Amino acid sequence: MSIPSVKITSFKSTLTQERTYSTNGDSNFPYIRITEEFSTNLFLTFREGGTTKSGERVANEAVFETPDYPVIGIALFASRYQQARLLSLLNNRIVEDGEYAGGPAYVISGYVEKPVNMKITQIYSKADYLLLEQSISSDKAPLNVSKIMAVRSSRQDAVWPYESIMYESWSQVGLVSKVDLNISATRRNSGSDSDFKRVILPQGTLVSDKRFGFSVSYFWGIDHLADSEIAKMATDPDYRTNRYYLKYRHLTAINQKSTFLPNSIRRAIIICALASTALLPVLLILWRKKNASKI
Amino acid sequence: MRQKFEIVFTRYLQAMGNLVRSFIYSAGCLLLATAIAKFISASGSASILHSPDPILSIKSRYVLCFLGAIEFAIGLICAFSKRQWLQAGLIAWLATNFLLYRLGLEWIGHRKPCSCLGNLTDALHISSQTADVAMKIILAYLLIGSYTSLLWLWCQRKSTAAPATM
Repeated sequence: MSIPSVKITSFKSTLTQERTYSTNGDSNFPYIRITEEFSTNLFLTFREGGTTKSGERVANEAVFETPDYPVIGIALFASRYQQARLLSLLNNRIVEDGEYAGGPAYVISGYVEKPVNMKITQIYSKADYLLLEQSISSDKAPLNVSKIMAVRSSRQDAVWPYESIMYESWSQVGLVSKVDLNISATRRNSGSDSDFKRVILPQGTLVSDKRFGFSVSYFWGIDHLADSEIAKMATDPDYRTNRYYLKYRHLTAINQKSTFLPNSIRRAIIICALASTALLPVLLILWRKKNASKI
Repeated sequence: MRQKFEIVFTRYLQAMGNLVRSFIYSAGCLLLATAIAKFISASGSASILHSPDPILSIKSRYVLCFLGAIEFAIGLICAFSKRQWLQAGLIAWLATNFLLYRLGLEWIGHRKPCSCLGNLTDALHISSQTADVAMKIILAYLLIGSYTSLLWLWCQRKSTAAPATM
């Protein structure tokens, strides 16, 4: 299969935010939707989770979309209900009975709970590529090992050794051919340094799989917050929104090598073909008029 | 014997004429229906409408509106015009463009079901896969029907023009 080119190098810095409320009208439960347009029209929609007044736990979720990859990724940290809801977001890739229709897709996934577990498994088995959340271990998901492109990490440093072990074990069994953990300095925009003292690992993971002739570099930003910041986020949705905005700005690059003609050239050829077919009636009319005038 | 043949031939011509007429009317109805579906979808707020079309790189909403307008116009021509050449020609032209577009989608590796009906499929509780298959069947119907009609019209014109030129 040819791999369409996807290269994300920068953000357009356009951010649209929608704030609505949960369907049960619970105004304490913010529904924050952030859509960011990346340089290659990658759309990210993030939904902030929380607990509703009725006590239902609602999880975070994020969906990435591009024209090339209708579903570039999903993040699940979800309750059963939310997983089902997130799956419904992917309904254009999932047929009526909940089965994933297949096709190019990245899936980022976290905790998977029954009974939607089966559906998630279907996604795993049918997606072409997977980006995995760290909390998915090989024993949890019956994965087609050749599909793993990258591993995302966002856990605190305490969990890090476990993850490293997991990556190592994956390397050993041939899941990934190279594991490269990028640990970079803490980034921040404002506020005092003390707020970020606990930010030890702005996680980023690069996994290259040379077997398929492509590499993916994937960097995920900071999501380890100081207690004060967590407290602020819990009470101030605006602050929370901004934090997530900052967080996702750190997703810097997903690069892939195209195997044949780049999609931009293919598109140009297709557009030319479409334009010439579209103009055919005009040419026909002109030709007939010319012939008629000759007669 | 010759009289019999002429009767059969006339009946055949009448049947073909009826078929072409039926095809044009049905194609017109289909185009009007899909045009309305496109307009409804384009007026929605689905996220897909903000994303660019995979080939044209124009916002999907605009593409839906534009195509809806063209389909609507051709649908009206099919319903009210008497010029079968024009009707069949326009259907063939539109279907050819759709075919090219779909081939283009395949070529760039876009495997998502075509969003011809936008988010209307959600409202109708039809999976986009089903809608995609239905649109493919409609496309095949339009293509085969229109080119067959054109061929028949061309043959008919030739057969009627032949004695006049002699």
